[in-house]
Amino acid sequence: MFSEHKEGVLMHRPWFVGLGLVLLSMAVPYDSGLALAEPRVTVHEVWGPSMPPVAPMGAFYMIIRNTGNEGERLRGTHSPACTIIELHESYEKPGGAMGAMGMRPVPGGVIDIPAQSQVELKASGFHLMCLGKRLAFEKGAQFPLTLHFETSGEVTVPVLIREP
Amino acid sequence: MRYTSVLHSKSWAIGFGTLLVLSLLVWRGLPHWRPHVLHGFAMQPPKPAADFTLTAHTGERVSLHDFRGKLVLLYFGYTFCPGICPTTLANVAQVLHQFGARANQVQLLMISVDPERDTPDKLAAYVTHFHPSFIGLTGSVTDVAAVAPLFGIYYEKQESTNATSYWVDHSTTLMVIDPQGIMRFIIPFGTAVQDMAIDLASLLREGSPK
Repeated sequence: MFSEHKEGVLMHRPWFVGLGLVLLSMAVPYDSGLALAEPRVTVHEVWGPSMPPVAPMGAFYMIIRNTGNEGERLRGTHSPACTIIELHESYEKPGGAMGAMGMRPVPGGVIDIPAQSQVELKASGFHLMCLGKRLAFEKGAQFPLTLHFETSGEVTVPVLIREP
Repeated sequence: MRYTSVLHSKSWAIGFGTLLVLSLLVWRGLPHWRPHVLHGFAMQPPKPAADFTLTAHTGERVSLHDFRGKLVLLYFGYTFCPGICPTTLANVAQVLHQFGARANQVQLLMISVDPERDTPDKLAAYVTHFHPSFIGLTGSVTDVAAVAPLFGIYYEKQESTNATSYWVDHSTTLMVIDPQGIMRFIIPFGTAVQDMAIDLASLLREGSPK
């Protein structure tokens, strides 16, 4: 009797089943895959300041955006324009003279790009240090730069050399 | 009836004309009457900049007082500097391009905080790349070590992870010395080119007869 009654409710109210399906689909984020938390990294405004040929160093700046739901890490980079590229950080010297800045390799050797956020690489913060320039950093020059991300793998982007 | 209406329009014309002349005067005079608000940090009180003598990138010995009559921008940097120095020098060059003919009233001097590696030749190639008027200064290690503290400048060698080289951590401010040799203000790193131009133009205006 009871089971007959339950069956009757579902039979007479098909919208009930439909509503259930809609609610279930809403619980799963669109476009993410059920249990697949992953970073989604895009790289923007990649550039380097033009440098005199006599200067042995160069720098690359950019914005790295992570629109995914999992953090990502930049582990290293390479480019035909540089012998080595190091992940560096400019920081204000504590207790030093006004405007005293220091530079050091990024602690831990990686740059974290948390989920749903962006990190700007710039002269006064995180940046990529190009040691031993192999190509001329003259205004208008362009060369490829490959970024190694922990999860997303390699991403190659063009660097534009311009005036700061 | 007709006579009064003529009078009426005449007084209107006078009133309107006066207003026009007054507003023109205010508009023209405003930049001079309104005190300029600095983007940089003013030295309080302004003091004469300490004199020094170093070797210019041309090889000749020059002193700060040689540049009396010009607005001097004094900067401490080095040719191995990857980010801060090139950005600062390029920004100053942009200001000078904006100044046009007035650019010859401004002299940028960059004192090397890395005199061991920055020979006059290297400095010449480096600074003139940004602007032909820029002058690089260097000397012995002890010469530079004696000049930096006169301006409250800090610098320190920092071993690099790359065994072949080292960095020099250093103060990144740009010091502004007026044509009379008085230290007037400092411009911190990160100041926008336009703000820098406004500060320096205001100082140039002050120095020349209006």
